[in-house]
Amino acid sequence: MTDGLDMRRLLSPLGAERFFAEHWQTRMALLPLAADDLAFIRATVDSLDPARLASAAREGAQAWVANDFVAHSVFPINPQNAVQFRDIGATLYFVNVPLPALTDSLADFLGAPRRKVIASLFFTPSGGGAVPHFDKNENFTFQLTGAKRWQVGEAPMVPAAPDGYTLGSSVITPALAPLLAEAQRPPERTVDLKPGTLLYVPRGTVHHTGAGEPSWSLNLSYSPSMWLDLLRVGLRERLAASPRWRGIVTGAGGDPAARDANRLPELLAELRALLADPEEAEALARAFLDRPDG
Amino acid sequence: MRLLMRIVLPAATANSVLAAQDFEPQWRALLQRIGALASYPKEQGRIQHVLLEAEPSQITPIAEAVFRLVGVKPEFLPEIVPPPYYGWRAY
Repeated sequence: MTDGLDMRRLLSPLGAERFFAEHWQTRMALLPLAADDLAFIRATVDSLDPARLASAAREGAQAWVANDFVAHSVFPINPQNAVQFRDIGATLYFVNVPLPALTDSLADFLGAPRRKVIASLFFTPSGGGAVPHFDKNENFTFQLTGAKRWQVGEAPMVPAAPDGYTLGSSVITPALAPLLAEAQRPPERTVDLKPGTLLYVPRGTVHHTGAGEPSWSLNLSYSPSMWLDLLRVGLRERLAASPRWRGIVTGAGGDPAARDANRLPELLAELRALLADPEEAEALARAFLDRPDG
Repeated sequence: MRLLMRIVLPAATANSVLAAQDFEPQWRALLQRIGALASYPKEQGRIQHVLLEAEPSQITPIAEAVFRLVGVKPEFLPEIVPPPYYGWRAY
């Protein structure tokens, strides 16, 4: 059995280069896993015991219940009642189960901060399904047991979506609203996941699911740090160390004497020099990604 | 576990349900039968919040009793949790 999650090997039917060129952030990818890789993932996840997973999940566990009499309801669950919820036909969602052998490997492959990649597990009961929605995370789903049918958009409805959204919902974040207003829902493709299938779904891509039998799946998701964040947070932090950049905006018009205090031209020159220096740009990226919230 | 059950009667049908002659005693009997700890009506009873202590296995039977009386699926709000944007059944 293999002793690590080698993403390059997992992507070999497609090729890592082709994955980044043609799929990353733009188009779903469906890949079969080698038996060794599935065995490694299953062994790493360990027992699919709801009580154990509820105890392990760092960001809690939820049961989703909906049936002929109950409107969709979300219950926080614990190790004591997780099995009871499974037995009444709930979907179980275990958020951020520590599986560094998987998440760190994916983060290292992507060149992403390790803390931004988390593992979550889903138990879906027979007859379960999800309404059309898209996520704000880059998602890698590994089907572990059972089968599940996905309908996945051929392309993101909102490219690089800053937030998730359930189609038809009135809950729309301010960041998403202007992007959604212009968005068209792309055609969808049917994808059948069985044990040993890996499905990559870019954020912003509409998908919905249905399970004809109980199934477990593992989701490795990268909650992205955007380049925009790097500029907004990282560059700001860098410039804020300078008293010149902390200076007061003065001389944008006003008295001719005040115009002499306008430092913008020299600050822009300084900024251009900073951004044009590859070493400075690399240091900027590193400093941002090493931040706890980077 | 402690649960808050939320029942919202659609505006179009609320009046006929609430105006039924025997609705009030039936509603009180239902609350007693499901072991309601408290109930909080709003908008003349169109919106009801009912506090319950129930095991997971009791959730659907309680909801069914409500559904059969008022024709509306109740939603359960155990505590503040993230919005269920993934959908109604599963992932």
